[in-house]
Amino acid sequence: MSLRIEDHPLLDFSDKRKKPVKFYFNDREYKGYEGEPIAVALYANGVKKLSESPVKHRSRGLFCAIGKCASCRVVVNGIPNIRACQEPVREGLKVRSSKGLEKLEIKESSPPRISRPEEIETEILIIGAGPAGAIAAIKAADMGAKVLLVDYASRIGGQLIKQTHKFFGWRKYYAGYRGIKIAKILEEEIRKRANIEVWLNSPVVGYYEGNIFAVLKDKRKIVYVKPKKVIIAPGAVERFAIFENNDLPGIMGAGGAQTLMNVWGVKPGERVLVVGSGNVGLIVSYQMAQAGIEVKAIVEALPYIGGYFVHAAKVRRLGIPILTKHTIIRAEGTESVKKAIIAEIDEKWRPIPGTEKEFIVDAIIVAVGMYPDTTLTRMMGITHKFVKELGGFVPLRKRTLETTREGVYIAGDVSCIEEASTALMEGIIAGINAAKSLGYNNPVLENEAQEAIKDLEKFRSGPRYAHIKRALENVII
Amino acid sequence: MLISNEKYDVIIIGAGSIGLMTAYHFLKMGGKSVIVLEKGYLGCGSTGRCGGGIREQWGSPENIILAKKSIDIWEKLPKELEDDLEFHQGGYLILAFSEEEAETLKQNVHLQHKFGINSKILTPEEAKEIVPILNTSGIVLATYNKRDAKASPFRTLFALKKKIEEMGGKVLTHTEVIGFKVKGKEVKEVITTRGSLKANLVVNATGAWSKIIGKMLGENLPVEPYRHEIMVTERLSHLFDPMVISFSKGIYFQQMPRGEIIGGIGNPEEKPGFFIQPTSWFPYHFAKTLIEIAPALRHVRMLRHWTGYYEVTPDAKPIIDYSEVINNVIHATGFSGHGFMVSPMVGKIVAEMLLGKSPSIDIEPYSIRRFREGRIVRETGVVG
Repeated sequence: MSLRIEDHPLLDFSDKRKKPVKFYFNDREYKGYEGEPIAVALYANGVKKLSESPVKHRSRGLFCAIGKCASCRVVVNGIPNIRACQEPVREGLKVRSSKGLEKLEIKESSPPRISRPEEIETEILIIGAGPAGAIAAIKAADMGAKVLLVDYASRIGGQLIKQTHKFFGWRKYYAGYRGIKIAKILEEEIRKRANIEVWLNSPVVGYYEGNIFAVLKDKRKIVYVKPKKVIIAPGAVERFAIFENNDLPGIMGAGGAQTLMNVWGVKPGERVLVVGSGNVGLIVSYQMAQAGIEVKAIVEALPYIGGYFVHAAKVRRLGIPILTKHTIIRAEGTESVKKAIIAEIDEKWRPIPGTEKEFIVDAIIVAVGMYPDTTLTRMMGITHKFVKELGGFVPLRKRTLETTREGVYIAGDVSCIEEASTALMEGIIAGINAAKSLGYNNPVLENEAQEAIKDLEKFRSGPRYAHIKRALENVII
Repeated sequence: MLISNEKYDVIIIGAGSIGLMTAYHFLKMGGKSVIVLEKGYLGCGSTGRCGGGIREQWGSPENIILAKKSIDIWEKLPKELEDDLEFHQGGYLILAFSEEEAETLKQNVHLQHKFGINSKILTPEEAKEIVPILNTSGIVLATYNKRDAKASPFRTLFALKKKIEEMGGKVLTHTEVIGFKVKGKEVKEVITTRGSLKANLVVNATGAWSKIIGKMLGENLPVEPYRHEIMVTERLSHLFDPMVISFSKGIYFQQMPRGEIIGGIGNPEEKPGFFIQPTSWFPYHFAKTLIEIAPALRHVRMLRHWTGYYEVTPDAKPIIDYSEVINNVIHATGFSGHGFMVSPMVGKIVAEMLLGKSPSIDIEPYSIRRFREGRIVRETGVVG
């Protein structure tokens, strides 16, 4: 059984399927394509269980798909604890599933040489090359600053590279374009500018005394970066729903599903249940239907649909039921998910006995919202505040998006869970202000930053965002 | 919650291992009214940041006695506290990389034998049998003592707190001592961020912060905080049993019962002070030194890296003594990076002092006076 998408109305995966390779998983031979992650190649072959939890030996598989969890740990050529979603397949690779804690079987007799990490300086370090970080880099560079843009992912654009739908809003913030196209435009603009250096596949892994950031360049070598100014744009982290057996392989977040499907061309399942009817849940449902997947239903605990009417209408036209006041109560299966059991809930969110319904599914996609990724800002000692409407703990900031630490700016979902267009506005504001604080001037661009501040205000004035606008007043310093 | 004018026989400042062990022994020996005050959360100080090693292979009688008697207590603690504390006697393997270092270790072993400790001198090959990932090149000899151990600092603190509360004592977190009401040469009240408490006796068990408490009492304690850095790796199945240390390389590392490897290395250029941020010096120096000793560990990833303080005295030996300024204060501090391992015996001694009993070991070597009188011989067995 192959879960590979062969024919997609919008996406072409041929550039990712250039070189077929053979590799082994638990001594069985499988086919994959060079460069795609082990977990993706295995998933395409219908292999979902990758590891077992250390204590209760529960089945685990691909979950976040972006290297942030440990659910897909495998042993690769004898080295344990390798995240199968991050390690590319190569000809002859020997992969074994992790059974609890793994042995270190490799023997080394003499120590390898390691060298002291190189230390470099830059004017502006931008962490995260999603819409906020990418546009911040462009604007700061146009002001004249020397920029280093880093991201753990292999491409510029953040989550945009998985978005096949057209964005709403204003033309100057790329409305009317599909997310994948916006990512391309941003990338082209960045490549045009000689004063932007881009390090992809390069996660920030440490922050040290003396304002030193440890970047794992090319996922191979630590470089210490000492910037004059920093723009932090790491985006958001997906929330997850609590229900029985929610760790079964085949159950994943919307982000994981989009990575599988829209980046690598592999279906998360043939028959799927979606949890959550916010924009992400609606869009991922539509994208799955587009890829030929049967979406059984979308369940929503609230009494109304969370996302935009337009997205809901598109999903409804395809005949996908949206069940409000319903929740998932249990998943069933041993090595991967086989069934989803949902129920209606009362006004106190308790399942109503007798209302259970069963769906035969091979995947459950959870899209129940996000929270700002403040790992780095908290590590840096920036002051945060919990504001529910903004998605959780967020850094305090000026209108210029400078935080409580001088020279440290934020932009995008880390400041408040919103959308790509607001991330772009914030990126413009942070990029121009960070460069300005270094002494660079450009009246046209400075005016653009002022305009972006006004546009943000205007955008948030609509009835949908009024609560965010009010809540933001709590974190402006 | 505000507290006001409650009265206790004993107020212990600091709910780290020293403070809680003291409260536990005090109650166990029949003491009645005791409260432990902690400025942050349980484990926020040095105990919660330490490597969890426990050894009796020391280089001075003062530390050997405390450690040996502490292990006697550690062996019974899991049962007494009804928690396994992840206590495990996997030994310590101490490596010598030069003839000179080998000589010092031999002398230490000789001294340890005088106190009934069963430490052994091993060849590099014998050491490799105990730690199969060891790279023996450069190692002159090793010393090993099977009775040395490890325990989980957090499990220990939480189990102690639970037991203390069951026995009628109190542990109050998020309550910082900000001053004292002193009359004559006696503390009458301890002033905290949540109000004042009356006490007959006060214990200063605040480790790195004990100099600050000393200052509030008008006493200058010769204790300085030094930042030390430490890291933890991902989990692996059982690889080796003992804590492995080298004094000359300044490194220590061990695998905990849950599978992660914990280890640190001392930065010889560290200055005293409350520097809390991790440094970029550590990851490279630790990794480089670690894989010189155990090359296979190059395949294991570091997950986190943090800092904590050693509260260091001029001779790297503890202070367990009555205050020289205030009559009803006892200081138990200056453990110089090994407070957790000796905390059971220190707690017992301080509890005896609180109850007016004569301490079960001679506490003269731990006096504050020794520094003034210049009777100090530096401990050679400090690592990290």
